[in-house]
Amino acid sequence: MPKTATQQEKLDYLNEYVRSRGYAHRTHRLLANYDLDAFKAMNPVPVRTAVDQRILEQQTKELLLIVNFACLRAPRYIIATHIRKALAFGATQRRILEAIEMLMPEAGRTIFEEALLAWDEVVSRAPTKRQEG
Amino acid sequence: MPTTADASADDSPVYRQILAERDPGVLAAIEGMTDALGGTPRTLDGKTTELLNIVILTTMRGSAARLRAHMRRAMAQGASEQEILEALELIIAPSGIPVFEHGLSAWAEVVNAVELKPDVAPFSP
Repeated sequence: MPKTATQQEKLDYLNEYVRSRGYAHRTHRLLANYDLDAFKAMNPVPVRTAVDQRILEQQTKELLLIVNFACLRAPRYIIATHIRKALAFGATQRRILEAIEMLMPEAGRTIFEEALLAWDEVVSRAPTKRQEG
Repeated sequence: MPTTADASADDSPVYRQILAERDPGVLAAIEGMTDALGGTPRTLDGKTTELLNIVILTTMRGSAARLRAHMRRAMAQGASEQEILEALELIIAPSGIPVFEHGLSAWAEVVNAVELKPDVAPFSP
């Protein structure tokens, strides 16, 4: 019989997740509250493949995740989260736009447009407007 | 030992061969778009452009031949085998293992990956 996590244990784990990733989506908040063991079992894969610094730069990984989530038709807020992370890791708005534009030939206009709208939502609220290089 | 896929065949996708004969105007429009967006260096460097192509094609389950072609181009632009593997591993969590396996299979052919064979019989006690 698995030990039931206390509310404090759940909160501590979720807080640590936010500290390492910079966000916690609804899925993470629900799993933390209702199945912490499953959340803990899932977490090491993205920690090793996305969070840990290996060869690829963090900025490059965020660009790859933006197009990956777009192709998967992920909700716009998830794409927007990775656009913000790419910006935080030093990507210019223009660089992210070019990555998103690459969706057009292989993934089609529907997927491209959703990612473009996520980009527009993020950059239209950013202090520097989208003219940067 | 895996065989190396024919690189020249990989660089001529089936859609291009068919459209060249049946609808060259549409082929020219497609190639104009791909050249403008990914074929000509812009702010993104060539290596990052190819890694993006690899992730997009893997996630969309593009053909193995086109994946192999982009992996070769990524390596020609300076990407290491390990960097391409990392790019594929990055999408395990969002996309699931079957999507990852689609890309990994193409990668294994491009890099002539050698599988480690177990030295015990399957289902042995």
